[in-house]
Amino acid sequence: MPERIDLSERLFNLTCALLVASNGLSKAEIFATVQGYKETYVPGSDNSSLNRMFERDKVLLTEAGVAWRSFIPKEAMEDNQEFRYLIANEDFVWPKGVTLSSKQVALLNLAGQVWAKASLSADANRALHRIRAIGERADSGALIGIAPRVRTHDPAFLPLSTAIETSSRVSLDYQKPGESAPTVRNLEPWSLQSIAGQWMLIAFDLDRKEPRNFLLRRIVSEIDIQDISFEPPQISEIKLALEELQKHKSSQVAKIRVKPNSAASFHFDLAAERSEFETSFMDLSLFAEELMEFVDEIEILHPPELLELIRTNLTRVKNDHA
Amino acid sequence: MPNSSRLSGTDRYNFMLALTGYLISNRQKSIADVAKHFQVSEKEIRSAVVTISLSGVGLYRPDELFFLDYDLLEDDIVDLSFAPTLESVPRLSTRQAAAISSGLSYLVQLLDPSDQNQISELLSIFGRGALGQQQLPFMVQPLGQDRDLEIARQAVAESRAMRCSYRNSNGEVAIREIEPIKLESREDSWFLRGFCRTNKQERIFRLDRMREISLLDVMNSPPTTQSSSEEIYEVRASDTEVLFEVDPAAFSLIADYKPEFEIRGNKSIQVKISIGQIENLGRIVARYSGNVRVLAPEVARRAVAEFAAKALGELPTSQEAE
Repeated sequence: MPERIDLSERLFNLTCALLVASNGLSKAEIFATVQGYKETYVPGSDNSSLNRMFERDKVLLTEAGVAWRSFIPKEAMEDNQEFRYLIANEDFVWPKGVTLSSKQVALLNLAGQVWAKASLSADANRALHRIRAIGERADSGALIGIAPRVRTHDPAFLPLSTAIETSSRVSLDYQKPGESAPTVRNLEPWSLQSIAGQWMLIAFDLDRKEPRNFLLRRIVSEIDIQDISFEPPQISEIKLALEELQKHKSSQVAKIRVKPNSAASFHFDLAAERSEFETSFMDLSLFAEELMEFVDEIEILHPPELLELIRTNLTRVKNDHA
Repeated sequence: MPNSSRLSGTDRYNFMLALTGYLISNRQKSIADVAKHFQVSEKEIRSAVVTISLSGVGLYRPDELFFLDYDLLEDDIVDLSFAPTLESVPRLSTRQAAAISSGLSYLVQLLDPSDQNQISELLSIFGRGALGQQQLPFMVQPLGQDRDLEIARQAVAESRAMRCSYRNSNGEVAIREIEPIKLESREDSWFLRGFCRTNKQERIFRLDRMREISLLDVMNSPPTTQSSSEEIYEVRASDTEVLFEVDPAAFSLIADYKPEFEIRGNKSIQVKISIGQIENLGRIVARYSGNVRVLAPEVARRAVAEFAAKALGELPTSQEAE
């Protein structure tokens, strides 16, 4: 009497079966032979729950980076068009020749730990299991005492990553600062980028017909992933969008005066005797927020709209707590 | 330290794939060594190898895919042999590679130049498709170099004490001598946990409140942390519990103060957070520009309103600034 097969075991068995079957397996063959399926398989019936399970398992395999292929054998083209499934060894294995030194394994360990408790920690841990499996031990001597952490607390992060991975169109509600209501955006999501601590989506805006940048924290709806796929962008297109963003940042300069020895003067790392400085900023609202913490010890000399925004923000804070 | 939590579902599936690849090139290892290498429990290893050895039952004869030496397993030695098709570690999934690459990119800023070369090499392996994945869905752009961070990193790595001018949260500026323990970060903010020679106490220092940092002597016996907490903000008995209403755009506030608090959905939520100094609450709330509201207690609401009113009073109107 076999024990109950759990999800991890069924997926492992399915992977093994698809790897060793050089001619692939039909669905019926999978259901009849693979542990986790065969226990409830009834030949000749519609096996609808097994079919649903297989569809889900295929997605889980893809998400785990295990690329399966499906094909219809040539000799069956005419009559019985039944898909056969397999995992090609060259799609599955760690590429030959890619080896890692113990120092590199240590760096990779630290890179994985960056995600601490964030939503990506599970993926990072799975990656570390595979990296450790290559066998090299970590030489962590020089990296003791460093505990860097990145978070992804934006609820939109994982759905958007999934949409990018599958090149699926999305729509979402986006709230721009200063606008009374969010607008619906229909997008082809290209890439998520963390820039100076802020997660940003680079996407092709289908209504505006050009690439646009969206701060994840301004997305105010759930992500509607649509069943419409698109041609993924070239790396050069993403690079160009990032360069545009950088250019935009350099073009926006603020001039600020700070009180000596104030928190602001430490924050902007000014020498003790300096009181005025210039800095470029990517986004007016984000920069205003960064300044809000020091608002009682700074003077905005330029631009006027930055000062105006800070006044508006402060007034809102004051009224909210009146 | 072995991880005590049990793996399940797709995590365990992923682990078994990795373990299988590892064991074929590492025959007759002790369970203890394998557990240590993967940083999981010995129980986890034992359970996984038994599952692996039983997979493929029915597909072939039981022993045809995997053969586990149960006699050796009695002596806590794992010896697993395989069919030739499963001879390697699986490559990383796209998301796994993105999690690792983003972590690496984030690390660039705090490693010394020799390590930075290693990172570039690793990024070319993991980040640009050498592992055969599609384009990575997300990436962290390296943060700019920061001189203070560079010195603090050196102090930790070389076990050297350091001296700096430090501005505490009450606005007092003083020279401090610190014996560093650990350098920690939250996105673009860096913190140094260390023993303060000046106050004879373990403290957490914000790097953006330091100035004029210099390295001192090599410590003979570097301090170890007395704190069991991993968190930057620790709750003290004297703290005031404040009830906040937080909009999605300000969820990072919760992540800062209550990392264990799981945020679901994208609606405003109410959360209680312990705050040390009510006088600083205005700054904290102002930072989120109206996306955070203090609901109670009244003394906390008043502190925020007063901060905003005072700051507004000191700000000139935009016409005056021009």
